[in-house]
Amino acid sequence: MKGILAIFRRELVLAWAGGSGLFLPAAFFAGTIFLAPLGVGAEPGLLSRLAPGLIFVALCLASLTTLERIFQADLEVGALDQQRLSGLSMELITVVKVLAHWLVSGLPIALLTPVAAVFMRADTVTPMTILPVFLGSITIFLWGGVGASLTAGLRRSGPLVALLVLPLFVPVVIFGAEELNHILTGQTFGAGLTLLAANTLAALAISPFAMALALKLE
Amino acid sequence: MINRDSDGQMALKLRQLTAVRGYTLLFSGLDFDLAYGEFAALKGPNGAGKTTLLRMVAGLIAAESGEIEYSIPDEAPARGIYYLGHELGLRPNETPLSHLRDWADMHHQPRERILPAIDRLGLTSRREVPAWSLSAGQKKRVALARSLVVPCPIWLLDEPASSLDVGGQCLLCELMTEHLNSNGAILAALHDPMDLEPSRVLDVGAFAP
Repeated sequence: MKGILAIFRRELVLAWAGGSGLFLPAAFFAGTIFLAPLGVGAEPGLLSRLAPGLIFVALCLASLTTLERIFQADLEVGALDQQRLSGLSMELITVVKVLAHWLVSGLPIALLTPVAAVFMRADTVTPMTILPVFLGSITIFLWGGVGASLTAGLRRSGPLVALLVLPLFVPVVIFGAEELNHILTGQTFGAGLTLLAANTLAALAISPFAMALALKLE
Repeated sequence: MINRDSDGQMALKLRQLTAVRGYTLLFSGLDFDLAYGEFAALKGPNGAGKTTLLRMVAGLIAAESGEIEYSIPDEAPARGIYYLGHELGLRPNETPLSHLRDWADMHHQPRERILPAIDRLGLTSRREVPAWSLSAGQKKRVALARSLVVPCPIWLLDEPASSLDVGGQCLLCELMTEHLNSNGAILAALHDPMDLEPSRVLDVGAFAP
């Protein structure tokens, strides 16, 4: 336990020390949300109608800005080799790395959602607005980690990661936007939240094995 | 296939190892035994597969065929293998101190060993400097300090003397001698002869097809 916590702490400290674009995804997200009204126009009701979908699309695209670095940074300098020799399970190491990455770049996006919703003139904005994006961002980062692990050994792998993982983001966008729409229009929770949470759990169960296998073949 | 064999003085037994890189057969039918207290040097021309063999023994890549048997004492930390490769494992914004601290914690080893190790390798004044401003030789010293913080019975060294200055090379010889004296085993790829004489030589080139 102490061993895996050391890896988690190291990831957070290194993210904080800079170099991995700490707030880049959140800034990208905010920028996209800011641009949307300028492109869509100020027609009454239109913007709030589009808000859930745009928020989730912005979340997906924002996650892609730093995704490729999750494993690449360690692979390039040989730190991943050393971590494999530590005897800790590779599945645990990969999922800890993704969660640390999510904590510094996914969680800020989830926390920004209420602001984004207000900006897009949503009818009801409650703290619950965060929930779908919170679950959605964890799922997106876990599936994204699979893409990042597959391409960790390649240079300029960003666009390739995007192509690989965008299909995996489809259910997150469908159920997440559906659920966010429920919340922003003042309705109770729908089936979307259950399905979104199911996707999160599936990602949590499957992605560590996929990531560990991909990195072992690197 | 990897078996752990905990009794007996042999550290490593390599049996009929075959390595392929890309579409090239590097070596085949390689047999070698390494006993504790023994220092074996890996020789062979560039591209013979010395690094590949070391990574294979470390368990970082799978052998095409053949077997590697380890006998590692139960009290050894983690997998009991210290691997010093070409990449030294330091992220650009990591400092020697933070790196070794994470290293010790990762392997459940006491942090008290860190400062003496840093002193020993002459990094005292550089211990809080991020790795991007360390020289290649200093980074190598940090990687060598890991061997003191997490003592492993089997050392796999890939060109350990490269980028070290004269003082660093002496230090390397000292560390290796101490390791051998405490009944450790060393397998090292070497190009230039070291002050420390290897007890055996494994010529990887001899197993080339």
